[in-house]
Amino acid sequence: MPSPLWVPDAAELVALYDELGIGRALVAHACLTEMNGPAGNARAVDALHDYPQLLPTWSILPPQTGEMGTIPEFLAGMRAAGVRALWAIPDGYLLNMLTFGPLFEELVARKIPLFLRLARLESWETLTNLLAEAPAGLRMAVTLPSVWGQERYFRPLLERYPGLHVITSLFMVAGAYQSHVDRYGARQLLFGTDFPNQQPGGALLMLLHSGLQDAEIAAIAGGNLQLMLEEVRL
Amino acid sequence: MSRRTPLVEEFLARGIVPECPVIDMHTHPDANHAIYFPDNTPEGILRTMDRCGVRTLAIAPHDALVDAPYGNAKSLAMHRAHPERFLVYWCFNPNFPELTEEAKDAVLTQPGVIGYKFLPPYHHYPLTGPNYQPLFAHAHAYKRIVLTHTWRDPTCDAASIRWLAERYPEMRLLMGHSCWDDFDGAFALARDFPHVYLELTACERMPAFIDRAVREVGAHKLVYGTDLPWFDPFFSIGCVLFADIDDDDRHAILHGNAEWLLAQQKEHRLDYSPAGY
Repeated sequence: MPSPLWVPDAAELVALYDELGIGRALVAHACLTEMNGPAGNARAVDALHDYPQLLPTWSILPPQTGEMGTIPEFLAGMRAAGVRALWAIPDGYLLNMLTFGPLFEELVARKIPLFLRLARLESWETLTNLLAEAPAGLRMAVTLPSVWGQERYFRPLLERYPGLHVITSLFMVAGAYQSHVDRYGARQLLFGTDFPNQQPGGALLMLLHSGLQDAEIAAIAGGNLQLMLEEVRL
Repeated sequence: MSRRTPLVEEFLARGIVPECPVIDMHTHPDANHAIYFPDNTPEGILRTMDRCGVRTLAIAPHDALVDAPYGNAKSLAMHRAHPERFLVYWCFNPNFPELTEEAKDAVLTQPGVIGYKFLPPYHHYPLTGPNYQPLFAHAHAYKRIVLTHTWRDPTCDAASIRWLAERYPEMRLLMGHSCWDDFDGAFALARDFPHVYLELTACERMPAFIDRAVREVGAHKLVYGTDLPWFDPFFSIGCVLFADIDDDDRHAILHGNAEWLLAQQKEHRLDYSPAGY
């Protein structure tokens, strides 16, 4: 896959999203994947400090190594930085209850959503195994591992786990929105662009003219995520 | 330059802009074993086209890429039922050279057939191989369109396209996916050869791909395509609209260049007369 041709800073992102009409965004800063966990988390907050419309996220690491502090320290840090969502980037650890059980119990209690970027088709098996053993009520959202329609993978999971959401950044198959909402409603979809890996105008126009009702579009475009973040108790 | 031009505002507000119809030159309008497509019958494809303001598709059904005689018959039936909406690429698998003469005949005589569609990596056969050459020569002789899958893959890479472009200068060669993963190679080909075009399927979603292509090659060499139903037309249209280009460029990409190519087909073929061209 070609690399993104450029990576924007916060000001450029805001300028572009103003033009697109995207008012707020949950941002996974490049530092979350490219830097050591705590350093990346701190950089993410600093980079977005002057842009309240860009909401920072943090990444998690196995608590057993102490790199992210104790779980209470980590949660206190989230509260201080205004971080209301987390990313799991399981590149170098196993995303399972053996590793993250105590942390995930806290996420459930505090309704903190955990986002997961599925890197490859095999990641569906990781997610399936995690959901089978995770505490009920864990709120998760996943990005798709391919632009090729993934309904055969995620529909069984959405039916079984109401706390699971799909981020629509790679939701590109013709008629994908209407087909999904006809069967499942709009509640488990969260609009995303995967910018700068994808051109964001495509995702935007596809949702706007998906043929869905206005209320369904509004829910996917931001309402579902906003509700999820409002319910977080830090 | 602001992207919120009058044309972009019209698309955002209405979705369909009659003065800017869309012509999709790269589609596979049927089901596929590996992926779920929600509305993949011919009627469903027409519903998608109507929802998105797509006037015409150039089609190569998946079935025609797997079983050419079966699938090509399906294409002809779709054209007969909707001659203004579906134009046909004749699909050819070079592992069956005995179908060469039938392919040449179809491209000259079957109503609605505008050229050939090739899929080298899936057929495990290089574009430069001998079984393709009679059809390239035929497309050259009759100035037909050839849509071929192009990729950073030895069967269909930029070097293969250059080899063909030099030998068959009268065909109209659409580089499906614009030599994915070698866009610089594709840009060079589209610059160097008047008869070689960039095709947008999947590339349009890469940030700045369209911006660079217009700047480095020219909007007149970009042809809109989606692999429909792999990509929703509105997704691809949105990528064109929000590229950093002007409205003339957007018109050229979404319909103007395809109209020109199809008009050329009409000019070079007495019995080719789908409505609207």
